[in-house]
Amino acid sequence: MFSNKNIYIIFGGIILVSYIFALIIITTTDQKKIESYEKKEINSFVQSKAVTLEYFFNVLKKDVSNISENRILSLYFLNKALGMSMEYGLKVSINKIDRFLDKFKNSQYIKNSRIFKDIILINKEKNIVSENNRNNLIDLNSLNIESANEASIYIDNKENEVYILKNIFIKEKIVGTLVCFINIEGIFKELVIETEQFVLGSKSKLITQSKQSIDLILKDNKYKKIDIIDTPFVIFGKTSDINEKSFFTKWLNIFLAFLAFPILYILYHLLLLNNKNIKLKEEIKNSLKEKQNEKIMLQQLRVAAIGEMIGNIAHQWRQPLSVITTQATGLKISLEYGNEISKDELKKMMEKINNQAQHLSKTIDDFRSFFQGNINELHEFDIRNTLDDVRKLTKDTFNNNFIEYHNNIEDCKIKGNENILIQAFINIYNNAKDALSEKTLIEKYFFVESKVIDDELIVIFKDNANGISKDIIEKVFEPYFTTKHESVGTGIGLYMTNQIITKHFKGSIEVENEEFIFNNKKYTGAKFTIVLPIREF
Amino acid sequence: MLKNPLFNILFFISIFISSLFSNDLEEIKKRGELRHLGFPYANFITGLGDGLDVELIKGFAKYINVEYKFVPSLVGDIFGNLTGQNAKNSEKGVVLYDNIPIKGDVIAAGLTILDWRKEVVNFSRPTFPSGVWLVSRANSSLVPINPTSSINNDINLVKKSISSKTVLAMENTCLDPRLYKMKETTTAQFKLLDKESTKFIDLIPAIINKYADATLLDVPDALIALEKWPGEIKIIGPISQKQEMAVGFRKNSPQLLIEFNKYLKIIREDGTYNNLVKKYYPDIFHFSADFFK
Repeated sequence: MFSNKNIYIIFGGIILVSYIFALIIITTTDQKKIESYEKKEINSFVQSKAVTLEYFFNVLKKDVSNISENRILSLYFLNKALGMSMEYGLKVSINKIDRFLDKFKNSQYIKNSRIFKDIILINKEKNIVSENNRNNLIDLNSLNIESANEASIYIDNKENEVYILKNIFIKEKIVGTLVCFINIEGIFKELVIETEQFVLGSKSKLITQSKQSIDLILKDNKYKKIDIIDTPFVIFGKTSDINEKSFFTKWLNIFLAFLAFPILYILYHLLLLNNKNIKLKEEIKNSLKEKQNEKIMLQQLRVAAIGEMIGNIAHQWRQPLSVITTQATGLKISLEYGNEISKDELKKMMEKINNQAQHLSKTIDDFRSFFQGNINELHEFDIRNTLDDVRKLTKDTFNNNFIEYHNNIEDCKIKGNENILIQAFINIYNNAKDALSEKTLIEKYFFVESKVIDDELIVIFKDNANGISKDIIEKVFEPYFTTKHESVGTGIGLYMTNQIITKHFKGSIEVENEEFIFNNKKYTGAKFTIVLPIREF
Repeated sequence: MLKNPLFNILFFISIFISSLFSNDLEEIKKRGELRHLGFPYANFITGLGDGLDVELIKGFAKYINVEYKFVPSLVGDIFGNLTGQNAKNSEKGVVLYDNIPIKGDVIAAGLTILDWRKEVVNFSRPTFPSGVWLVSRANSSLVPINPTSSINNDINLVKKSISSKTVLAMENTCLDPRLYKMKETTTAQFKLLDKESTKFIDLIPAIINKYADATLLDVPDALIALEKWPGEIKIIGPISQKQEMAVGFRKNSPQLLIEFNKYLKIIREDGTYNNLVKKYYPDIFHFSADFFK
């Protein structure tokens, strides 16, 4: 059932869908490879960030260690040890410490971020000595200053603060401790930059902001975890590129997969379209064949009509030829037997012969005008003239069969090919003539009526030949259907009439049996009702 | 006023003579130069070409549209270089002595406003808070006082603590023990430094080197000393009430004084002066915050 085109379409569809699936597979495979490379890359990337942070925090610890040794810090403790009072001298030391710490704090930047949130100096009793910097960011009592002989980084999990502790010594004795609160978010942002991909935390808690909790990050395989040496920090890093690319690939694959649907849909409709084309071609072929058949039938009808006409001519000619023959034979006998023929008699005989010859000539003209007509030519004509022409052509035949002709015709002009319509009508006339001649009827009638109703011309032909048998009445318009002997009927007469009325004149034809009263007598006969539209076509 | 009539006469004659050579604002403008008298003293005049008073007078010179010139002087000659005749404090009052050439137009060297000095020069509006503290070396047996809420009590505590101690001082300066009746109220022994040869900056090294047990030191100098000799000196407590420093003008330079006070008002109001002070004495704001409001 599949045409070649359908096979091409299906084959093309399979190739396209296969191509899409191949693309999806290749993309997915490539993505896996890229992810693998990127995983390696992120590992080294996280490592590099960890080293950067390690280096930075080491430098920071060294800086804190250096300032812890500044004499400004120890001066306070020295002066205090000397017994100086706040009012007279000691306060100056504190002010110096404040200024010193402020200056140091305000000079410590990494790019645009401060390194220190605050720096405070506390004494051994863990009371704040410095006055300007008194932001108590954490509980100072929790500080483990004994372990802060070297600058060390600590995390206050409670307050989420990161700070460096460094003890201050005078003569190898701890006199105070420097507490430097680190702006860890700022440092992390400036050093790591890609803060979306990295998170800083301790082993149990995240320090920098993250959308995920430490538990989720620890469970997430995408995160690479590296301890930052000499600090309590752990850096967790993943590549957002992988996610972004995976996301892109995923949607690309989905897009490609969905692309298959419209392609299949289009192919399906191409198949439907192709099938419709095939059907249409078949129909056109059938239509052409039908037209061809119709043409052949028309030709057959013409031949049949010619036969009918020749029969009619023969009928038409028989009487005049008989008269001519009689007159000629009578004249010959009279001449052979020496009978005198007067001039008047001879003149009468010649006139008779001439009249009959004229009649024959006219008959020839009538038929010739019918056969000469072009069936494709359209023109306006009056139905009365048409029916008169039909009457002329069939008059002798009807007369020979003693059929009485009655008409009631209303003038009406229609457009079309008159000869074809004449041909159609003649078939009905001949059909009626055959039906009436077959029946042994005393009165044989054929009625023709035409009338205009609205935009339609109604032409009715009716006979009194007892009608058509119910068994066959519905088949009379079918081709090659005939009740006549094959020497008489071809079976295409009424079929052609039907075709001419319906196809050429866009009208309709119906046949029925009708009972009617004529001259006070009841008759039954076939009634053909033809409806022709009165319009230009 | 001066108690000796002869001195009175001489004083007024000297003023009269000086006025004949008046060096007031107009003359200074004509001359196109403002001469700043001073000597290296703490951060007022560092000796390196800058200092609080150097910048203050430079700014004033610019304000009156003249050139600035620093004229170095000695502690003992500073008034003479301004007025033409040296002056000193004595139990009897101001003593005018040697006539010396006038070298400058203003004295600005952390000059404390003292009553006897007011008779010699006109002071501008106060430029700096001050006072005198007793400072000893760190390992001295002197113990810093435990401050009370009264400055007088604190002074008395300090005076008591120095009985039979040796104390460095400088006469005719703000470190003159006579100003604070120390000789009458303490049993301390005073070692007076020679005004000609000794500079203020020599006081601390002197006590560190055990030349004396303690020294009088004005507050601005003490603040510098605490920074310079950390852990080597200690503040025992106050000897004086709060004092103020100002710029000294000749008596016959009233217009110059008025102009300076105008200038001082401007720079105090626009914050320029406080920035200058912050640069040279950042700790002084905590000593006398009200002064700089």
